[in-house]
Amino acid sequence: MNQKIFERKELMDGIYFNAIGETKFKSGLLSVRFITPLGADTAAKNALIFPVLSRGSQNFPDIGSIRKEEESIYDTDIDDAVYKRGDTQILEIRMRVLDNRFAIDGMNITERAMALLSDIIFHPVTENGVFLEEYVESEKQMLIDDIRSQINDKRRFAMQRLNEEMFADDVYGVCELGTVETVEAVCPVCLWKQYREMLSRARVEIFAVGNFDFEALAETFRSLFASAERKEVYKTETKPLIPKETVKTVYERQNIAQGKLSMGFYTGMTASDENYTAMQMLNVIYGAGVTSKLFCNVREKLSLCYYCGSSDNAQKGFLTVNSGIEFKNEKKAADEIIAQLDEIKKGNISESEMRDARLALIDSTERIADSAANMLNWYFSGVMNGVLLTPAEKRAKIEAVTTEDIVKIAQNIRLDTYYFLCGKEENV
Amino acid sequence: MYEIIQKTNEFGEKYYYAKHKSGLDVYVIPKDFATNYAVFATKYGAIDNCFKVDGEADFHEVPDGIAHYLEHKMFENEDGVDTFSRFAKYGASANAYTSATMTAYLFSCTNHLKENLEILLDYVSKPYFTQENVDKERGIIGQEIRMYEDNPGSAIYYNLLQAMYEKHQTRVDVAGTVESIAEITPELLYDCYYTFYNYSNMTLCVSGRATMEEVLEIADRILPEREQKTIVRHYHDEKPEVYKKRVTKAFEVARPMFLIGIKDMNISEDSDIRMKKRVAMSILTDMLFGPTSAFAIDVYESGLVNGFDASYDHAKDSSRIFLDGETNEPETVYNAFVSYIEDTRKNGLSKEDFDRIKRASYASYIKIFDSTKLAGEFTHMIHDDCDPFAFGDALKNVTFAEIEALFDELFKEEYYAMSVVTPLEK
Repeated sequence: MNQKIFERKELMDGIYFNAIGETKFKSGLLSVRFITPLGADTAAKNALIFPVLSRGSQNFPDIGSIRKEEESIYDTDIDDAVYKRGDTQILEIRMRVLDNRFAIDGMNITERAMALLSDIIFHPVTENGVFLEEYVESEKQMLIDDIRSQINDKRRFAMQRLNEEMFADDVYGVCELGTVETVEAVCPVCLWKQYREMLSRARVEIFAVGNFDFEALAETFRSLFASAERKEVYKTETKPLIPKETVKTVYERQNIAQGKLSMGFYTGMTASDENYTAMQMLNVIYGAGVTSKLFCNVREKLSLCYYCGSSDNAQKGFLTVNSGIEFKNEKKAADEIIAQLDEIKKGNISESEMRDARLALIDSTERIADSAANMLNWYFSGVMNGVLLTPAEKRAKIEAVTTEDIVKIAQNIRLDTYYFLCGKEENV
Repeated sequence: MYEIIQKTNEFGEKYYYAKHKSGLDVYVIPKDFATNYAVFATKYGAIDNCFKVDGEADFHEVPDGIAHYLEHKMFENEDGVDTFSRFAKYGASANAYTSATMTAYLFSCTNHLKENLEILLDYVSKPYFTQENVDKERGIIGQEIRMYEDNPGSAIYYNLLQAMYEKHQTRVDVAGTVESIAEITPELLYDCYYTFYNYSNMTLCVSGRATMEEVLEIADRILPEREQKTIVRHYHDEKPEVYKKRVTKAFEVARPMFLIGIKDMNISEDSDIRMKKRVAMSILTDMLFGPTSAFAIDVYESGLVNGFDASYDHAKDSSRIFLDGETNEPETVYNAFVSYIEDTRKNGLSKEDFDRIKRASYASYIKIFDSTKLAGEFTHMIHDDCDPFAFGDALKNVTFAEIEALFDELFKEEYYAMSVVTPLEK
């Protein structure tokens, strides 16, 4: 990826255009991300903005005409997403565009796709100067259904409940979709206000990855945002997790066949820390992947589960372990999960564990160049964390991590919140 | 020594093919990407539970879930070294999966492609099953099965297959059941292994910075001499109509989910005809139920269905269309589907939709070449006896008349079934 050209410029106050030139792909990726503060009173409104915008624009006034236009321009899928990153809520709209050279009818695919994208973002269908009530009500209902359906996927449900419990007194505990109540309260007028505020106050990160005329794209975005009436850009800071004095324990019961254990640990390590790479190594050794201590012991040695893995959060400074187990094996599994962390604290990390973790991280860094979406995420993380490393620089950091670095970090890691989703008939 | 065939398609993509002396079909797709990707697969999946080797008198009947169990156990080695850690030494990520018709072993890596290929060919060629290591796996796979028991998406899917197919093994759950896997022994695993893991029943597909010569050289060195066998598979006879129209199960979910299946048993023996039909079916599915179809837009705008999706699923001797989503009124959705088909029969399909969707489908076909994961796509097509480049040509050449003819034969009430998941009674 070293030879790839990454260029970043500020189009206007708080609006950035990031160009990643790459000619080996047959399609390119265009993404616009709006970065807003996460909050209980705004999460639902923010989550509704793009779904409502995608219902109809001036030139494509209903969902049928938008979807037909997407198909007509060589299957340009326009997707929107809302997610949490530290204490921010990110609203994204993106599209994957086939390279112009494959158009059999000479169409300028990028230009047509940009026309559609800008119509969706900047020219929604309105009545009385705000969003159409029909579209707002319909999208509210779908979002409410989505929130209620979070219970369907037990593994994700348990992870999300752990998150809520762990961050009960922290804005990070807010769900990025809002709650049923806050969605119900949204009206066309207040959603419109939130939309205009997003356009005028959110930091905007635009990414174009592929074989584009970047100058022309940047100009197009500059003129589009000229109508946004930019004001003071939102302050978006993320506060790391404050560890609890005693472990918070939560049991919940459902009519299910398998228990879901979710454990949250304080790490105190975030992406801006100088030796954050050592934290990533620790996570790989401990529980990320099929050669980790958790996989080898909780699954392979003790046969307690099909999955048991860890992941670390670089914004809030915590790590979670998730596993699906028989209800009766709860204590056995939890003890082993803690025991394996203690092994790291005691410095019981073999040379081959160090080598494998190093190679795994290097491999995942090197393969970023093969995917437009991964390149986007890599540079997005870089600009958000304020640490813009090239993959070669990252590799050097990975090579430099020592066992001592990892053991040192491990000393601060401690269990913070313990969550177990268990069956109805079993005794806890 | 080997005859190497090279093919190039109209947008400049290439692949090489050679038949290795072991009987293995080898494909190499050169791509100048950092990531290399390799898939070593056998034409053996959950539906192959009744088989014999040509010349044997009787069929072997084996427990459900054994192909998947075998896949798990291939990672065990006689010297006690775990397969994952062999790959990890060279920075590769390895994985495997079992479907109704295939077991695939794969890895991806940015460095040491040769070493990783050696490991792949080596471990899949060396079964090591003992009573102890087979017993140990029962706990792990048991938990995998339990995980799916709590997954409404998995239940609604297998419930539908078991409603659509009365006897055909398409109805078999890939993982089996806690009861069926209790019957699995090392002897049964060896029997399945030596039947289906003979190289003339397998493919190797590598995408990335590899040459065919290198891959063949590794195969020469690693693959042991093994007798080539002709496998006779027995699939139970299945009538064209669905077995049951409805199946319902209660779950801890927020609202009902539905999955409608349209059964199609009219699959040709001829691979070229099969491929063309597959192309036509996917375009027809998109025309009738894709994002721009009147049906999809209607159920969205009316709020009847959340997350509506349609897909076409194809295996060697059966195929089906699936429609799924969440709704408070599954029967209303079903009736809307039936009358939509009748209306379409009266009013005809739209040529304009056909042209637009055909072009969009070709565009998505081009996009699969943007990743070395295409070795996986290739493997699927090859296992269907379908040339991956011919598939692109078929997409370009399919006609509106073919789609219209297909529509007429496919949609009859007796081919439809619906599986529903409802919330538990409070």
